[in-house]
Amino acid sequence: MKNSINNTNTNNHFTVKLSTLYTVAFISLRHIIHEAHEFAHMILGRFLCGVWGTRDFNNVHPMSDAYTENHSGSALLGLEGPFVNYFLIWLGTFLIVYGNTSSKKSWGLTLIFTSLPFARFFTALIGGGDEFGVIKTFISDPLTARVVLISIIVAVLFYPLYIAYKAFKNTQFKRLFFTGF
Amino acid sequence: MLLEGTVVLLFFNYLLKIGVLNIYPFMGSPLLVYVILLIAIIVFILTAKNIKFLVSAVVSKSILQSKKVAI
Repeated sequence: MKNSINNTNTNNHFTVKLSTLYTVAFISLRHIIHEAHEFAHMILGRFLCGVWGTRDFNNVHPMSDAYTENHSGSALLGLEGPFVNYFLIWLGTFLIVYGNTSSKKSWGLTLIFTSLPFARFFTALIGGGDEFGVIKTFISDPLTARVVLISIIVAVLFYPLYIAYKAFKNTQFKRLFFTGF
Repeated sequence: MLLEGTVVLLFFNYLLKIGVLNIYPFMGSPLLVYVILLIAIIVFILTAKNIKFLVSAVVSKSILQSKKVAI
């Protein structure tokens, strides 16, 4: 990707340009948001349970007696990380819808996809992820829990992804972003 | 070129999302997590200005034609 890729869509009055430096920035921001997700678990875990939890490369495990016995605390801890992702996805949507400059729209699209909306949906679909851990504390039947959770996630993510799809309409990059992130 | 970009993005996404780096024992160190985070923050600060160029506004042909008519 030595050169930038241009894809002009005159119907939408926008051109989408994917450059090498943009890709580097995207990956860096993706990692920072991933860490913000884990830090959110850690900080709330420290606040509720008094321990920072165990950290490995991928996840934080804020295990303590208080965490496992207290359902509301457990739910809060589980939701804190995804809250960061959903907040940034909706912030990105807000920037696309109300942003009056192409710069804001670029940041909006970037925020939506660096927060990995597809990962939130996919992990719930295969019966994993933070949200599924939370909903299991309230709904014991795994299948019902999964159906309810997927419905909630689709409801939350539908509008941001619809807005992102419209922004990428008729560009070759929509496949890349929608399948990858 | 697009295929190359897709493969690179998907590969890094896979590394970060699935946590495949956990298979290496030395990658389990929390210290390494913070070192990588620090590197990511520095790289992001250096390259963040490129994010705003993802989408750029262009003037459509119809608008250009209407302006020509007006002129």
